Amino acid sequence: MESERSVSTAQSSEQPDNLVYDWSGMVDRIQRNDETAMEELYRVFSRGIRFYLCRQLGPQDLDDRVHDCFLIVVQAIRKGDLREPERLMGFVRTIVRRQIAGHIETAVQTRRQQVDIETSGAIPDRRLDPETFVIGRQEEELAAAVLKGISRRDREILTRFYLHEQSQEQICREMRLTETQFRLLKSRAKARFGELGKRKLFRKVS
Amino acid sequence: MFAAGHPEEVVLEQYAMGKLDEPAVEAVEEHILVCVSCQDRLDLTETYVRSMKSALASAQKAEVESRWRTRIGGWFQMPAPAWAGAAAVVLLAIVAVFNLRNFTRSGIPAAVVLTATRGETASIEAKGPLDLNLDARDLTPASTYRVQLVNGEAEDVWQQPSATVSDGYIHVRIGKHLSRGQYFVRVFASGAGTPREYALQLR
Ligand SMILES: [Zn+2]
Repeated sequence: MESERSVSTAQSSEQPDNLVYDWSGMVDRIQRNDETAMEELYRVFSRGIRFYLCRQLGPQDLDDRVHDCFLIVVQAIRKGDLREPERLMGFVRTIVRRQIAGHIETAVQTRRQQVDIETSGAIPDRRLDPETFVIGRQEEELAAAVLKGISRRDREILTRFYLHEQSQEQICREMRLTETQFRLLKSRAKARFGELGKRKLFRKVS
Repeated sequence: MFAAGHPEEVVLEQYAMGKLDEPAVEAVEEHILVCVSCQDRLDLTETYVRSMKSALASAQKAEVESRWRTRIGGWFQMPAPAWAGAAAVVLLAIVAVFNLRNFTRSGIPAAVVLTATRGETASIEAKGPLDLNLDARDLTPASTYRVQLVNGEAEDVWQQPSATVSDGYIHVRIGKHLSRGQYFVRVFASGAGTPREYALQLR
């Protein structure tokens, strides 16, 4: 997946070394209206932008929203608003976050106006589609199957961590666990979840 | 934080659970923006955390119910005066457990019940942790909800990526210190874009 992307020169300490791009070069080429640079920008960021927008705003109007983000990024680059070209990733993230905040703000305003007009009763939300609801149920069943296969004590550890959101330190202290035991239990449970999920998927396909 | 160029499993989980601080969130989000494999990893992690939370909540609820059934079954086998006495003891126990739960955590939290914005704003003093009970009636059904706190300027202040509904309310605790001012608590069902909003004034 990484091989089709351009490889760079600059590298920061927090950046993963196998996903480093020549952001400055890309910005420079976009400023010079290089079509291939625009295509590259789209290829590198489109799935990530789509991923964030979909997580926060849902699947509706996704293509348009991704397109809007791109337009803003490209226009900003062309106008020279991007002061540190090597921080292009951070810049794109900021634009995506602003877009998300803007959409949410609009949705909230609309809801407030609807609420003002309403005299009584709550405004019904859009219902989850049945398919999403069923998938959520199935995933919960997988997790329940994982829980059935572990001891009561292990279940308590997971309850403390995932349900009551206690810190790892507190759980290890109160349940007399080493950090390694804690991590092992968690990673085994997660691996089992993935395994059961794959089996279920396999049964469906075959 | 990163191993072999990608966020470690534990970091992704902390991100999914809203437990990373801002510089780390920034590093993870920038990476995920360009790394398809980590987008898939995050998807799986979020699904896992969400499902585990719901399954654990259901298991806990079932356990409590089963304990109650056993106890209630026992009462009816007792003579009447003993039955009344046992009921009083259980009632006291409930109060004690409730209080204990509130004291075992850091500080004494201020509890506030919020209903969806309808012109009215809940007002509470800005000190210590906040226990928010969000009225979940008519919310889009979902196994978990993302709860976000924004200030009057709509800036992110705090969030809890996977809260569940219990007895008609979403219960969340905000441990961080909040300064005085206007806040909005927003609740998102997974995949649904329009949030439910609750207003909160800290004085
Ligand atoms: Zn990655």
